[in-house]
Amino acid sequence: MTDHSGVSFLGMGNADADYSSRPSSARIYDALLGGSHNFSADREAAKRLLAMLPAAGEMARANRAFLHRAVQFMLDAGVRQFLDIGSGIPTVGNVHEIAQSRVPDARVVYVDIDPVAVAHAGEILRDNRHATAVQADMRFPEAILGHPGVRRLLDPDRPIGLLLVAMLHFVPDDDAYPAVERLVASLPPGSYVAISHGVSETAADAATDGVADLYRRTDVSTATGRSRAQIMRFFGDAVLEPPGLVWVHEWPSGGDGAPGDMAVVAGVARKP
Amino acid sequence: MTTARDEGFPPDDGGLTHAMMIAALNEILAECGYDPVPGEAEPAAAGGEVDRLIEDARHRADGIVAAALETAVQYTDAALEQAARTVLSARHTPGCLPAGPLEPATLPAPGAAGRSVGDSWYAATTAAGVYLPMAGEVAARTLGAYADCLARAAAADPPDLDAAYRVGAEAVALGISRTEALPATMTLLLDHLGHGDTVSRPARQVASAFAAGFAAALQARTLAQQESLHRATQRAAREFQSALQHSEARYHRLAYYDPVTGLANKARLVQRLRQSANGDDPARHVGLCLVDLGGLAAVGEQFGADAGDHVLAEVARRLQRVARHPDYLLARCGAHAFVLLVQDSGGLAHLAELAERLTRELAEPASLPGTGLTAALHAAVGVVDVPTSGLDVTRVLVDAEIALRQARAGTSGWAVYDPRPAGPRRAGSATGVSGLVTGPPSYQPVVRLGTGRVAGLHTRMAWRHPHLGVLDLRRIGQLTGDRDTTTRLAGSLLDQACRQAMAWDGGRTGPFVGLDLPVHQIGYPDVVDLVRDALTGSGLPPERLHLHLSGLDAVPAGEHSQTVLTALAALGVRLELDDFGSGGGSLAYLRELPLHGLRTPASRVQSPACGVDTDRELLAGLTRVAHALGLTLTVHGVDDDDAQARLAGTGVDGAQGLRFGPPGTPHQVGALLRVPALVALADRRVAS
Repeated sequence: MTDHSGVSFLGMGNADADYSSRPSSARIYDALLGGSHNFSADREAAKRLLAMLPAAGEMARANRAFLHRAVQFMLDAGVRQFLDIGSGIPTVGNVHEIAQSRVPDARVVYVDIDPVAVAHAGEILRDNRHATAVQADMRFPEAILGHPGVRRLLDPDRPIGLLLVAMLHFVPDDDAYPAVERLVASLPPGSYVAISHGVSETAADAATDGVADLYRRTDVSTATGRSRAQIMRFFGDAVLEPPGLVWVHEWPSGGDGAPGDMAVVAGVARKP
Repeated sequence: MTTARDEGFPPDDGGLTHAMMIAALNEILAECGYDPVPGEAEPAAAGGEVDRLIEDARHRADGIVAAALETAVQYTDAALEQAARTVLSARHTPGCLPAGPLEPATLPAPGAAGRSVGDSWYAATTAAGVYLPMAGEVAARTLGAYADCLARAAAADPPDLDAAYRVGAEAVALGISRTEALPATMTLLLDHLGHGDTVSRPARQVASAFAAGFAAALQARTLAQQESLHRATQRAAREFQSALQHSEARYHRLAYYDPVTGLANKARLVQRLRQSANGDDPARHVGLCLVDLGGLAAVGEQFGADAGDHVLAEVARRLQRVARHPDYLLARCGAHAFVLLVQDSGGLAHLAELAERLTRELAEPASLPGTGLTAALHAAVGVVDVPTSGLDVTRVLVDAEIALRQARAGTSGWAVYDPRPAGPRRAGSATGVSGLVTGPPSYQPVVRLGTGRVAGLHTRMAWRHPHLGVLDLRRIGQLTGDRDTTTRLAGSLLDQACRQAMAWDGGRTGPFVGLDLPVHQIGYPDVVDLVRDALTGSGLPPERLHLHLSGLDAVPAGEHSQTVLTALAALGVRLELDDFGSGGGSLAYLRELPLHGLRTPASRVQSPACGVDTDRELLAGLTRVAHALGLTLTVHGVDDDDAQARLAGTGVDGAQGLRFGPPGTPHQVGALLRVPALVALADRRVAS
């Protein structure tokens, strides 16, 4: 609590806020994916992001496609429950559509800090008994794990697919590492963790300051890339599935190892 | 069947006989390929044998029924699935249009060598920044099918513009939802529909119809998404409001009532006193009987907190016998103190009579459950009678306390506060500040729950008064009304705390030091000068100084508090509202004050009647509200495992209490700050 960035991180100071006046990362992401679940403030932010980081749209799509492949992979491995943290606006190709088209009673819990994204997801999932969306801050994993929605849908004794796609780079070290450690610790053996994360050490680094500045004006903290070694730490004791931590568009196969404009890496690990 | 067994077999009167049932059963068993049950041969068999046979048959029958059900369900599922598929394909009237994305297995491999039109189309959309939520191969095949469908529509006579329009709409439904994808798509389709450089009129018409369908669907999709976004926004705002009101209502219940006795609490008492003060009848008086139970502390120590609560409830019942009158308010206003507020006092004689009755009610010892023992209550009553005009709430309560001390010194068990100027008995004692002995300051860790690290230290200093016992800064101000003394002592506490914080860590990120500052007693602008001087003198980065506001300071007093608090906040120090939820008006005022955080005692968010889960839910709700207001929430007084367990999973930011470390000396704290792991360990227990 004395991390003085705490309050600004929450950034929801304007409680009865007009949500449309302030860009949100969930809606910026939707705009990058070509959705219309966004306000002009979000589209403006997306446009500025693209000006600074022309590959941002491509990265958003690559993240989304990775999410798709990771869920398919976990389904193949027998996982029937998913916890998608930082799910954003449940736009095209969301987890429950992917999972439930193959396993109708697959369980999916979406978690996001953005109340609008959660209200939205709640509307979409109203008639879906096996999926729900909860509003929670990933910095407080106990609040997620203890949430009635999570308890109702996820069986803690059967493998769970934990999805942390394109969200950890918004969370500062002090919060991110303990929170992910706690979340992973709560998973039963045989569970999987999928992470995609902005990586430092790339060409896109040059734009980092500008991007950070842009996100500072949204409802979340700054996006900060981490090194591969730092990203690996998130997996903890879970064992990375082949091919390991690779460029997000090259998981689990394909590509030549060249990043292109990509500044995002991804991997899926299995908890022994 | 049991009837048949009990009464033997009735003669064959054309009704159902045992033999007939066996035969019927065997017929069914034979049809299903099961062995028949033994037949009519043993009608005279022992009852036990018949029982066994019947039981056996029943088992088999159950098995058969279960198997039949399962089969039926399977068939039904398959039929339903088939029906769903039929409905789906029927909906897409153009026969060529696939019902959704095409899995590779459902289509023959592409006949033509090289890049199919589907592949090209897919590549073009991807290049235009379209994300299709499916594997590339599936997308390409589906788009290929669309292209074929369009070619067939162009070949038809007349051209099937309706189908082309629908393909356009389907393309949007598939996920091609960016206008950027349209130019490449149109070029590609015109190439596909035309022959070399010539594009026939039907082909152009089909392409136009496709574009119209695409545009219409894209517009519909955009509007639908915008509408649902607005709905979601409104819903989020509504939910936030109702969550706010909900927790406010629950919090107020806890805030105004004592969970142990069900009586009003001090906050409610103060509220009622204030209302009395605003009355318009200057002749009206209020009376107040402060009842203190001297024996209760011993009960708690010897027999535990539950026994103490039992005695409190018993005392509350006895007091209610005296206080049953709409004009009276009975409140619990301390660990072992009650107040009977008489809102329309008939004068001292009236109050004295009440005090007598209260004393009599409490003369009998209270029984201790399960022990057969009783405990003497050692009650004393302090009485005050004041006119409502110009009533000073704090003052009245202090006067009652002074009367209580007199009652303790006397023999009747009660005493009335004497408002006349002090005689020699009271001069320099109850209201004087001479003889104050300053104790050493103590520092109690405040732990950040997320990391388990010590985030800061809560500093307290106590002064020993020759007659009033140990007092903190606020009490000194209340009891003496001596502003200069309060200011002088506050200044020295501030200086000491800031210097100590610098001694531990001179950087910006060192632990904060928090202290309770009686802002109103010191007054504006002195209080701002005091804080500024302490910061300048010590060099402590301002954000490392946290000022806790409680009591009167925590009650918004309009523009004035705004001015004072804004001036303090401008120094860069952090302001935290303590005793969050005690009295006060709407939570909304929190938004208007320049606050950084809220503090609440663990006891306030704990109600033994409701249990841990309910408390935890309440706390989680409060935390969400605090966070939504951009404030942190710290719970203090977390002294035992129970209180600690209530924090788990609530998102509460910080905690303070014996569970996280007792108040210590500067030296002990220094050691603690060097060994963060110890505290982290304590925190892990919260998580478990």
